[in-house]
Amino acid sequence: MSQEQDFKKLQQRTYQSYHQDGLIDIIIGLAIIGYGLMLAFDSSVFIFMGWMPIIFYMPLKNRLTVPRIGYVKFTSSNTKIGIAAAIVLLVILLGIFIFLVAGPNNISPQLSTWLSQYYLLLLGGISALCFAGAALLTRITRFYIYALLILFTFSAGTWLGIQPPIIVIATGALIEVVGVWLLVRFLRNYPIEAAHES
Amino acid sequence: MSPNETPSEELQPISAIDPLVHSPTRLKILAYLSIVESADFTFLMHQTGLTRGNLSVNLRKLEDAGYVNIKKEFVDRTPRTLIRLTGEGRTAIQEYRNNMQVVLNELLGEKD
Repeated sequence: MSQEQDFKKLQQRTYQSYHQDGLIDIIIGLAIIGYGLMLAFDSSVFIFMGWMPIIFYMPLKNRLTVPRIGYVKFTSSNTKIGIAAAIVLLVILLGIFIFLVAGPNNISPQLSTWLSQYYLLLLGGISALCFAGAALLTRITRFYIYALLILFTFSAGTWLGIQPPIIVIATGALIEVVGVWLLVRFLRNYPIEAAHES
Repeated sequence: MSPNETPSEELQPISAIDPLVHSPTRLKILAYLSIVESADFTFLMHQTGLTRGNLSVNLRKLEDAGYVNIKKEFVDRTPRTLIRLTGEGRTAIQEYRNNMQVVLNELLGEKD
């Protein structure tokens, strides 16, 4: 057994502890709300609103997290995992986009009807897979809960006939609430100490 | 233990264990540093649960042995003490792990 394997659990715990601030949840929640607003108002402006917070992720991390629990640079293998996860996610999203935007003209009418009726269910399934994949790669276990939450809300919403934008916005809002709760808990648990470096 | 071996010979591998790494406090520090590329003083303090003074003393010992590299820098006019494990430190942990395995195998009578 290599040393890397020996310390894998420690590595996972350290990685989880670095993401206990809820910032990643807030960013994801806002992105989903942005997508929901885009569906509601049929305006692509909101998709930018959803992705905008990503720009603020690192500055927020440096401003809120680093002064409290310190700075860490994870090994390149962790970075590679992150890059691989991002690439997989982008490929999936691109696939969905091509399939839904360009594809329907070339597919059978039955499938096209099914897609227009249940596209939210398909989107929910793919999003849940993305969350489960991210949870598996990053070991942030609450991502599994988000995967289940998305599956539940998207399917329940489809069967109950709730408007898709409402389902998407509600799911994003739930993730947002968890993120804010985690952030508040983090800020309370780790107050900034007076500047004192040794 | 073979019939010709005395108990002191049996425990010979213990002397190969690096006392600098064997200390629980320093082992904890080295374990954390081995899973990251670099970390600052505050991060190590939170993760290991050590006090500022204790961490500082033990880091100095590890630095003197050449196991860690400590660099002080300023980020946005705030001082940051960045610590990273050296190649020597990485080897020391690996050797410690191997030696401990040998000792435990000898004591428990297990084969590799």
